[in-house]
Amino acid sequence: MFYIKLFFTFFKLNLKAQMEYRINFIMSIFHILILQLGNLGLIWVVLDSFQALREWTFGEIAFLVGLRLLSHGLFTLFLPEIYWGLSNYIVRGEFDRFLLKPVNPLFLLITNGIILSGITDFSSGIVILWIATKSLGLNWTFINLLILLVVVFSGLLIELSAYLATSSVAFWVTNLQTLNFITFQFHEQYILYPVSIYGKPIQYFLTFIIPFAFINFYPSAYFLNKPSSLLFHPYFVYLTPIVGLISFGVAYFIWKRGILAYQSTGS
Amino acid sequence: MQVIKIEDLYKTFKTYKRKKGFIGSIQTLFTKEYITVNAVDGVSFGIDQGEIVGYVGPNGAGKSTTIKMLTGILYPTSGVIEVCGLVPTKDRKRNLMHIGVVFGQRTQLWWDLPLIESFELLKHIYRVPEKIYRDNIALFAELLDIDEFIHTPVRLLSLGQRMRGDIAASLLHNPDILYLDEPTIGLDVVVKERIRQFIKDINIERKTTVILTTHDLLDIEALCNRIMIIDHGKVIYDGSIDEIRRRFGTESTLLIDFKEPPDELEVDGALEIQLEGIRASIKFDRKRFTASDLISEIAGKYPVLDLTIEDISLDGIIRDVYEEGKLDESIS
Amino acid sequence: MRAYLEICKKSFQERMAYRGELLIRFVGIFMSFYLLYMFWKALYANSTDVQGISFHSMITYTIMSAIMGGIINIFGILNVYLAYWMSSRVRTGEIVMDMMKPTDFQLYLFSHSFGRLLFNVIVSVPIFILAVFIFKIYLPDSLGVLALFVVSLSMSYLLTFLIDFMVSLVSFWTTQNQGVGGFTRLIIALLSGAFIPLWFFPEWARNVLSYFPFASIYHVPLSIYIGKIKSIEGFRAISLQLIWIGALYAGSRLLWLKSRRKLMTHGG
Repeated sequence: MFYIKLFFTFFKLNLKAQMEYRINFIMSIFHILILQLGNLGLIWVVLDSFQALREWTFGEIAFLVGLRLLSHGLFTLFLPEIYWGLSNYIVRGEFDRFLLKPVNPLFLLITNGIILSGITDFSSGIVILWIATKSLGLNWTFINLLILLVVVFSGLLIELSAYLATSSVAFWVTNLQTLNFITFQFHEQYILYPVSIYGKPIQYFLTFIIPFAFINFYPSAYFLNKPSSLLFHPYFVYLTPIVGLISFGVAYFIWKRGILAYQSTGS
Repeated sequence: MQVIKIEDLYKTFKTYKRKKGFIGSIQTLFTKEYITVNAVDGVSFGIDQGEIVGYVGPNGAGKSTTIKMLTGILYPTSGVIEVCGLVPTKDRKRNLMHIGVVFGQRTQLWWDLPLIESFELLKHIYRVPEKIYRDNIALFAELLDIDEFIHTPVRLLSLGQRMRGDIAASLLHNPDILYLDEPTIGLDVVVKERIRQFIKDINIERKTTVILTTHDLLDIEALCNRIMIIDHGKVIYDGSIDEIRRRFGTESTLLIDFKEPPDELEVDGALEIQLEGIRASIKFDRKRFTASDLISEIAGKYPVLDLTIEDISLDGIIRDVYEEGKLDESIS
Repeated sequence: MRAYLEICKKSFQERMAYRGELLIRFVGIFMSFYLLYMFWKALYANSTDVQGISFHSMITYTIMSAIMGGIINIFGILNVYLAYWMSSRVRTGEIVMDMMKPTDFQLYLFSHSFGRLLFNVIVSVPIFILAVFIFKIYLPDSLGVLALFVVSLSMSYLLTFLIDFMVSLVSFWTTQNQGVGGFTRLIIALLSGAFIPLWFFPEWARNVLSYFPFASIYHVPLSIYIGKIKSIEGFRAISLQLIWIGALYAGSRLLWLKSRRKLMTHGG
């Protein structure tokens, strides 16, 4: 309860601080809208000539892209510090500030900043999901919407965990910050398309090591009923929430160990 | 009542040689070329409630490492630390509830928002009761005039205003102990005096224990009844500032520019003379000679263009204490 | 002339200071290559020839496009746009120092950008060679085609520079123009054929795009490289590039004069 109240206090402050930079915010709305819809447009252009990307039609890929944007929008809005901030604070020796308040350090880090344009990511996710729904003639039942909600939050958890774990490496090795960049590329580019188009090593990697495939690929296979595209085991389509919890557990463990290392070396 | 107890405290850093670049950083992951540094090397002391202690020493002497261990940011390698009966790293959150920390070089305030917003947030974080919060804001308005700029975004505040805001922020929850790291750095004389007076007031009124690191001798003289000098991880002096003043603070330096470079310079009563071209720096003991004695002596022999007197600095005293090493027996 | 050479050298050396980041950039670049390769491979799974283009040509087009992006995207590395640079100079007032130098401001910036270009070209050579071996992208059919490609690529570079320059002049009016810079980049990326060749676009879209310089930036040199545009047609495309350069150059000079007057009368 204490943390929930504190979370909203932080959120209010972040919002006020962001409003100091209104023009940038408005610009970013246009940028993201055009970026997301433009990219989708390009996929539409290509699939107009090719019909399908390894058995995935335009509508299905739109679904994939939209699902990713929903959880990513929430991540950008609420948790951008995990990606942009953490390793910088550690490398610049400014991580102390998160240990100087009688509050959980991860909570302090998460609430330290927001990026308002996450709202635009989230909204374009909804628009793209709507396009997919129209194009595929999907029916959203109440149960499916509920499952969608669970999937989006699990996706958020997976993204959070991936960046938390990679950023935490900075607690031990300060000049490997660029690891984030690789994680970023997997998350920002690779999962825009069905994971089944890649070679086996990448499929393994995105399923078992950094499980980004559970953010959109497996859940989409569930919603769109695509048994022929399944990798590994058919049950994997149900695993997103569990994978979300496990990855958060692992990432939190690494983070905890990282802080411990920081507390004994202080650098 | 003792609020801080430190016994046989050691902090050893193992750093390894870091190599540059991507490949280098991979290499450092696997090689174990350690260099050990004893940042804090067997320190023991106790601090009573209501004391204001100056904790001084050159950069890298182990000051901030000690402060970090007291605030629970760093684990000690060995030894005992107790702050109000708590072990800082074990009871990190409880320890933080009754201490306040200010780092002069960094702010804990929200850059883009008015000062008051940061205060409101801290109220929630430290669960400060509404009444205490209001009383404190009123008190800070009275003593630090923070009401003049409390609705201004922090990024628009002057350094002095920001520092006043930071100190107020660290005291909102009525901490028992206040750690101040260079609280007057870069401030002008008036603001410095203001902050010193405030720290004194808080100390008297609330019995707040204050631990202060600084490079400014005037901070120490104005505030501290006790000074601890640390160098190379060891406490080399622990006692009153008067004592140290009496024994070391009497050395002054006279800087003289001559009209033309003298061939040689002889001054009775000088401890040390350095001559470079037309400029000479002459060290002397104030207890034995006055500056005017010296000046008239020199001006009688050589044509003088310009002169200034440098009082000894805190860093100078520390250097002297360290070099002489005579005070070993006075470490309590 | 000597001064411009010096600026060019300086900016080259400045880039060299970041060579430690190169390895990680290589990893990133090859990750993108692999993605492009698998993407088109999946598309071509059921067909050998689409719009007269084989899988092999398509891969060559798309990977060459990525390499080209690394070369001409002069200020694009790590999102440091010329616009961003300029707006920070205007905000801090350093811009006055730049303008007080006895050099033409546009040429001054061009020399700066050219130094970076040289660095990018050198870095791209090993990337290109690796790409030839790993992804089997092919070399141009003849030396003539190669020469035509290089000429066309240079034109692309000039175009990008001129567009960047004009966008960055916006900072004389508002310093929050990084958004504009990024936005321009995005539009170029989407509509120039950098990702998806323009021949896949629907008829109406191609007609609209023919009134803009976008195709001249990526589509033309890449089409020449893979042999989609040949001989006479190639010369015609390059002439069009030249016309665009002329138009944008005139526009940029005009905008520059206006911007300078703005700065001198209002003090930025």
